[in-house]
Amino acid sequence: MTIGLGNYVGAIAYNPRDGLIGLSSPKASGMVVTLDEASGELRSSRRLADAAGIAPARHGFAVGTYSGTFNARHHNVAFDQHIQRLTGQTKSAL
Amino acid sequence: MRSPLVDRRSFVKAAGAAFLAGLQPQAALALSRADAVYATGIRKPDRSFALALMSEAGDFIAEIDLPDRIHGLAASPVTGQVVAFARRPGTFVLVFSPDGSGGRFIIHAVADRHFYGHGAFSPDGRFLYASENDFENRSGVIGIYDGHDGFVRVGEYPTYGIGPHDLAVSPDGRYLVAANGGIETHPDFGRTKLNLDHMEPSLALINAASGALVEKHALPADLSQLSTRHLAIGEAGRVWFACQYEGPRNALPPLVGRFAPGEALSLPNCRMR
Repeated sequence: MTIGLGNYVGAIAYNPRDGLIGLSSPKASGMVVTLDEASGELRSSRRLADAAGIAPARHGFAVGTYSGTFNARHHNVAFDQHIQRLTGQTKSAL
Repeated sequence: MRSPLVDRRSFVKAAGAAFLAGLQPQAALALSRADAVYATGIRKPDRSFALALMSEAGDFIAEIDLPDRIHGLAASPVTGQVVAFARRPGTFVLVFSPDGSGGRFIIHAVADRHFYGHGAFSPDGRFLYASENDFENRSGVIGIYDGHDGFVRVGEYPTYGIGPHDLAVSPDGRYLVAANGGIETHPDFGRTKLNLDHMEPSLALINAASGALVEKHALPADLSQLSTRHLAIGEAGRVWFACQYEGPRNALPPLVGRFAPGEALSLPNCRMR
């Protein structure tokens, strides 16, 4: 995991409904990692080039990239390093 | 000598007028229909900067032109106001209501401080806390802004370290958490890291009412080049922190850790590859 992240985590978020911590790194090949919040164990990792901002989603995490991806869509912009979820931020609302 | 920070301040004051002009009505309507909404900084093809409101599907809901690049954002859990912090060494913080209901504010850094790019609201929405650099004294501070009084700066607390980056607030509002990345910078030298050979990264737990230091967790000596930068609050106020490593490229330091108030740091993914 250290290698895949390029010794760099650029953003971190918590999804309370899933009990997951999400991490993103644009370094190396780009990576999104999830950890179990309670145990700290690795739950998943996937390559995502230029992974930048991360925020809790309905399931898992919303992620933006410098190369223009935001979740399922691609746009002709660079998404920057952080994403703030504006609605449904409480555990009950998620 | 006119410093780069003075030029930046003047530019932002002139360019901020467009931000104050407001959301287009159709954007506010789209916002009211969206399920989950996210705010993020973007850079457009013409290299200009904006703040985008995105749906969970990844579609644009609205776009607000900005005077310069932003970094972190925060949202008031009470009023719904959104704040965007200028990227370090930035001198502005933008405050707006995505539904167009509230006023818009630009908070300008006071003369001998700049913003580090992150901040957080108190749980009651009253105060906005911002990580700032007291660059002449080489120490981190938390600027405190009153959301009930036009976000006027009402005071500051020390972060008990150099180079604070992200800030968090405990769910009960009693504690502020500062990630003191340990990297010294000065606006006269832009983003240049001035002390990579003698960093002292730490996490500080600060009494939100008094500014007193409650706990300070320094990273162990063999991880002194592991800059603690970003924070998330987990269950029961547990603090998670994410790092960037400034040491040798072939080292394999842990990059994530956590602690509960009153407990020692743990780095649960230590050496995980």
